[in-house]
Amino acid sequence: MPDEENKLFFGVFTDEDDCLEATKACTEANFTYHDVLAPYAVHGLDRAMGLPFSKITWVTFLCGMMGCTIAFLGMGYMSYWDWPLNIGGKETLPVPAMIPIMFELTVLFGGVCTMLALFAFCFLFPGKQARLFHARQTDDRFVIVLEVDEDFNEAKAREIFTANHAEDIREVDADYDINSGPEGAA
Amino acid sequence: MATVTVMDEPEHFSFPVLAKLASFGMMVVGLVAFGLTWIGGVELAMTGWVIAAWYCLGFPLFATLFLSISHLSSSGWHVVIKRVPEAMTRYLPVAAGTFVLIALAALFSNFYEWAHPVDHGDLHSELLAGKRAWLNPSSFVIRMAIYFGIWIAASWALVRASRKQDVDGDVKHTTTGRRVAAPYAALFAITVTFASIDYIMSVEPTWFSTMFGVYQFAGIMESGFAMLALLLIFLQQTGYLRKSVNENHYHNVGIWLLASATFWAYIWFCQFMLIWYSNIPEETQHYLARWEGPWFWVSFGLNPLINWVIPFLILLPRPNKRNPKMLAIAACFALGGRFIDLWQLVAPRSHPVDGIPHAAAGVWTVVVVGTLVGVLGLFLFVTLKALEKAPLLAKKDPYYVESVHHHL
Repeated sequence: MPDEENKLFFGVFTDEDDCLEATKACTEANFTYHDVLAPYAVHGLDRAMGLPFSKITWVTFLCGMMGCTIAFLGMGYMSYWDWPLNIGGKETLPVPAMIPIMFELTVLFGGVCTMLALFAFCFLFPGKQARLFHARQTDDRFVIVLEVDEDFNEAKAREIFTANHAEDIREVDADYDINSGPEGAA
Repeated sequence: MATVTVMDEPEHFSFPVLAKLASFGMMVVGLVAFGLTWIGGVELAMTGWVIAAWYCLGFPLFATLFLSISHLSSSGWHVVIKRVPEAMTRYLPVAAGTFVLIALAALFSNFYEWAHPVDHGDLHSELLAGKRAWLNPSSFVIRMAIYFGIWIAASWALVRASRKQDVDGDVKHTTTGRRVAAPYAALFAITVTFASIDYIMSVEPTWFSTMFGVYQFAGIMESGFAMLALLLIFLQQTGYLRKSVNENHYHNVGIWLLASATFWAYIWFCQFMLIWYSNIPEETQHYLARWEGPWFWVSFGLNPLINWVIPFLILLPRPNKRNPKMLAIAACFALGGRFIDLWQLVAPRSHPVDGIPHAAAGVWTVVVVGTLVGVLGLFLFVTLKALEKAPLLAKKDPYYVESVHHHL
């Protein structure tokens, strides 16, 4: 992300395929993305934007391993170090009996941490005000937002957006939001 | 989308001479090894043969189920690779031939202790007598005929519908396939469960596990997907399916392999843990023979390591599932693991027969790998020969275009 606040240039699309094609063209033309916004996960959009493969899989893997370790140490502490009991003549450190719980905690930690990491990466928290470029951005509209930096070629961007049937194209200030825009709280 | 890209690749497979020679070579090695194992007695020889025959039977069984699952889930991605499982099913009649030897072993030898039980007047003999109704040579042979009848009939119907579609492209053949697949999936579950009880579990006739059928099913799926992956990679290496099969299809096979390896580990561990937990002597005898002595390292060390840990870690990252080289390495581990799994099931026995403790002869049974190589050569020869019989791409399948454009 550039240091000084650039103006933004965005196009609104009505169709997933149009948005995907326009994104591919923008990536090819070396535009800097502010973001591409869609109401749902569009298959192949991350690849079209030229984003690197997500790091979140590492969070899942490492947190899963952490859950597994915590389960083992927790149960080991309770049944071996702290309060050993003879249950059915089994060892006081009954590894086979621990494996289902180690598995469960691997899944639990992996899953919950993935979700929390996703919220952290995306800077989401309860009560956060959504930033909207279009009132129907979370419903059925797709928005490509480009940074207006020194290499920005407006004619080219406009050409790509128009060729892919953008229904709205405009250049706005860096802090633009539909609630603060000319339409006001629509 | 109606126009189909013309693939710049050969439409028909022709069995490379070198591969043909290699499969013959494997068969010769197998014959020699199988002959040598007879020096160790009929039990040792049949241990090798049962492992090899059941190991290779898993591939066509997997293939029929893979085709059925694809029909039942209306999946389309598999159409460009479906000739490979279809060819694999052609091994079923040959597999029936390899099982004749097992039927003979049940009829005329002491390989299966229940076949000709000697009454020692102890509890063990009493238990065996109680199982006579199911475990006796004549019903064993009749059941074998029924299993193979069902498998061969279903595979024949599935492949026939696919071949007819090559001619007229009629959608009704897909519907026929679906109609066969639905009852077959249920029949498959029943027949494979009982077949695994008959051929593998009954080696220790006084032991039982209610999870044994699903345990063998998991192993069959894992080794099946591994073999499918290796055959696809072999075809691409020899210049076939270069354009139509891409990393997206490998990705799907890799997902299946990862999932079935994990499923195998889950079932393998569940079976052990339940028996370990309840600690009933009738059930623990099986694990006791594998818990003590060197077998421990095979059953509880190598087995989960090669069958699950290594393939799991290899296939976990997405790029590895899409890379034929990594997929091939994981598949080789899964196939090796399948042998280890069957070897530690068949070779050590909890109860000695005629005073010969089998676990003592256990380490020597490593020679039985040779027998497996031979039957594997037979399987590869039959499969690749069958692959020549039909075009490599089912271009008139209604899902063909979807399969070509498959994207993950």
